[in-house]
Amino acid sequence: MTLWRLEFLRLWRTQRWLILLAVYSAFGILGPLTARYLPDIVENLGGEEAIGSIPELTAADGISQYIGNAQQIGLLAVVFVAAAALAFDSNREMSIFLRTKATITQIITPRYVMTAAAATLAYTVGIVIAYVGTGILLEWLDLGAVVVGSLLQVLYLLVAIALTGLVASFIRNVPGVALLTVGILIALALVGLVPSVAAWLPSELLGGIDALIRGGDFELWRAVLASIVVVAVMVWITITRLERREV
Amino acid sequence: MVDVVISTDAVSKRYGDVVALDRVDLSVSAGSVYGLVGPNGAGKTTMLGLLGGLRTPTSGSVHVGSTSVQVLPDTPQFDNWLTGREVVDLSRTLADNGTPESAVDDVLESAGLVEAADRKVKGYSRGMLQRLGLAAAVVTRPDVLLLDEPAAALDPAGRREVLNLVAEMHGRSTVLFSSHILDDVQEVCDEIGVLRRGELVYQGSLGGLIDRHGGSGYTVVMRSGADAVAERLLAEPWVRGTSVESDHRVAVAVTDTDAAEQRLVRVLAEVGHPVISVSPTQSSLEDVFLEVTK
Repeated sequence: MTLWRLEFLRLWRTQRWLILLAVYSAFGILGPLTARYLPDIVENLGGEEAIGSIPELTAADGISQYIGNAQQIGLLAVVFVAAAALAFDSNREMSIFLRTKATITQIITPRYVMTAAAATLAYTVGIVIAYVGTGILLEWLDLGAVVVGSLLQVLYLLVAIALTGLVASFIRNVPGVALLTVGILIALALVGLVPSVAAWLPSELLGGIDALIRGGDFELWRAVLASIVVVAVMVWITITRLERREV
Repeated sequence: MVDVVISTDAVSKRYGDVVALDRVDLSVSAGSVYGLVGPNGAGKTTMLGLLGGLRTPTSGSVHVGSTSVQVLPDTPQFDNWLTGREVVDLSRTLADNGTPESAVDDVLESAGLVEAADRKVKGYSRGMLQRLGLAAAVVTRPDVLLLDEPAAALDPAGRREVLNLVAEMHGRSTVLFSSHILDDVQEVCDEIGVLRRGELVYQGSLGGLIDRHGGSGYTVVMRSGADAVAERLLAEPWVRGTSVESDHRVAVAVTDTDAAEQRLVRVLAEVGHPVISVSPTQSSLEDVFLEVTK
């Protein structure tokens, strides 16, 4: 039994992998369906007058619907799964068991990697379902744009997971870590409303896939660079703080 | 010259204004079983945390002459979706010292957990968790084993198994365990340290503790004149104290049993009051503990 297997079992036996997969897959199915049938749904609900206010939906909306939900409910699920893995000091006795046998780096590396892998896998399954669904129901989109856009989404998930780890180095309680992390992510998104700093914020990555599949004009290299640096710095601070923390 | 494997030099630990440990000089011999005793809040858990590297001292220094140190908290807990065998095997793997996989079964058997080994930890009783924690620590073959109240809140059978496991470690590892169960300490420990409100008020053998703080004594029963006898006895260098329990009865605490055996009857004869009986008494460890920690 290694720490890597421990983390695999944490995801498997607690069925957290299933929660992630279910959430992203559900939105992967709903995205293209909503884009294709929203006018029909509204009409069947008796909202004939409202149909006129619905903009004409395109194939890109199939993906956008998925991404919109994934960035909210999906992200929330990822943060909670990450908090449950990374806030290992929340239980002092379990923490002592691990801390007296392995270094902090040895303990948290599998936790970061397995959580990120599970989140990436769940997102990928969701986007594949959304992409295929969109292609069947509406129109096949540029695969390259979807792939590159998805890499940006995954990078944002890594930022969220690293932030969860950082918050866990300040507070120990799992729900507290998750809620504070979500709060910080929302605050950062609000900071993104300031044009001068927006380009450097990881939250800019969230709009990348939408811009790519719609062929829009965008420039994300600053947000990508900043995100990579931020992840590295947050992980380093987390390790340093956890090494100094008393249990 | 006995090797000292654990020592602290004037180590102190404060939590804000609260002094958990105050300039403690601990010294634990290699291969011994050392009992750290004291009432709740005396600083035992803090001391184990410092020795295990889980906490840092506010001042002073801690020396543990090995990197192979295991700490067992008073209520061990594990991810409840792991089996007992997986917990022990994880511990063995993390130790990374070449311990064969077969050692997992061996320690599970010693801990009386063979039948429960493949069950999820979620269904374990507190006693089973305690034994599992000990098994997970022992499988790493630690040089130093730090146990925090390992038998507290266990039923007699669970307590017996834990004490047997500790006794088996004697000579193979240096074991330091905190406890306020004096019978346990008396049964398995070579040396003890007594903490009182963060201060180490005694360190040494159990016998030495009883001699120094409680020790031997005698009860003298006479027709009358207890006050005069008590006063006369206090003049003797081997008398630590006297207590007049009635006009007929005096309790005498002594520092030197040999001297008392030679001199007591002679002194009583000198005083001249008719003596009915002289009987030896021995303070219990509990009496001494209460005396030292009050």
